[in-house]
Amino acid sequence: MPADPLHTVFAANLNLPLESITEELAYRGVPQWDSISHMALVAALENRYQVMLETQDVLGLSSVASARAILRKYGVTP
Amino acid sequence: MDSLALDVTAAPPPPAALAPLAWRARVAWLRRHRLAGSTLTFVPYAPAFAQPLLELRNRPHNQFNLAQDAPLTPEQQRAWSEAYAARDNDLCWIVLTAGGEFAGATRLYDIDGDAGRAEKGGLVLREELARGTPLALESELMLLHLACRWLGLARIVTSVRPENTKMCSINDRLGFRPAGETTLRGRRYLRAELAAAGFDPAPLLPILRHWKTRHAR
Repeated sequence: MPADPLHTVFAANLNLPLESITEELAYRGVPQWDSISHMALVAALENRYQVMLETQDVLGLSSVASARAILRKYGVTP
Repeated sequence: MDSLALDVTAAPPPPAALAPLAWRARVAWLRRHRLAGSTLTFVPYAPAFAQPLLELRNRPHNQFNLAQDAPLTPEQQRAWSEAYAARDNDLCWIVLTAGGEFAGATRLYDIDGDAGRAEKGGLVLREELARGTPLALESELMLLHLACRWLGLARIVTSVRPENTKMCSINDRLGFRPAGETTLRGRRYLRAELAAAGFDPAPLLPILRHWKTRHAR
């Protein structure tokens, strides 16, 4: 089964193995999800899905599941 | 105070006025100049910033990371300001947002140009600003560019409490490598070291360019 594209973005930008990415993976639970990788993650999501997140969504992006929900607001189905 | 641009994505060499100076004179020169990055400005520390810096340092997570047993008092901050003004091997920058809002501070201290080393530390940022903008990324890249390229230091060291896992991760991304442990104010700290020759911001620059473009919109 092909990897979930959103999980692939998280794995690449948090420098984590793809198999460790779950919907529950959250900012507070992972040392590698620091303020620099958060910026990398937002940049990667915006580039991949051709959106520009509002500031409140940049701040609200705190788990894989929340990223999926936020992207849906922009009409993207990740 | 004079101001000049420091766009780390362009890797600027030291300004012509700085290049011929010895290291202590370079430190003094940097204390007289504001440095404008893409999304923030470094302003040399001045007592006018004592109050907001004190408030930020006294936030609980900063107190923990800085191993402050009790909130700093205005008198302690004043004493620190006076001692800082008297030192010639210490650079503390106030970080302002592109809009001029106080965002935090960072520091390069125990600078020893003869030995080619300095200590990076004291990065404190208002979390409510830092999670929505690349303040931490650009602050760290600017500070390391200044240390490695403009001051010509060969080695930057830093100490982080092991519980501060986010800062450990940031240092790892910047190229710092473990260099043992130390005890500061009775607390255990992890040491990490970056060789200037190995400082390669290239993988991080596309992130900053993305946010720079975003800010320009």
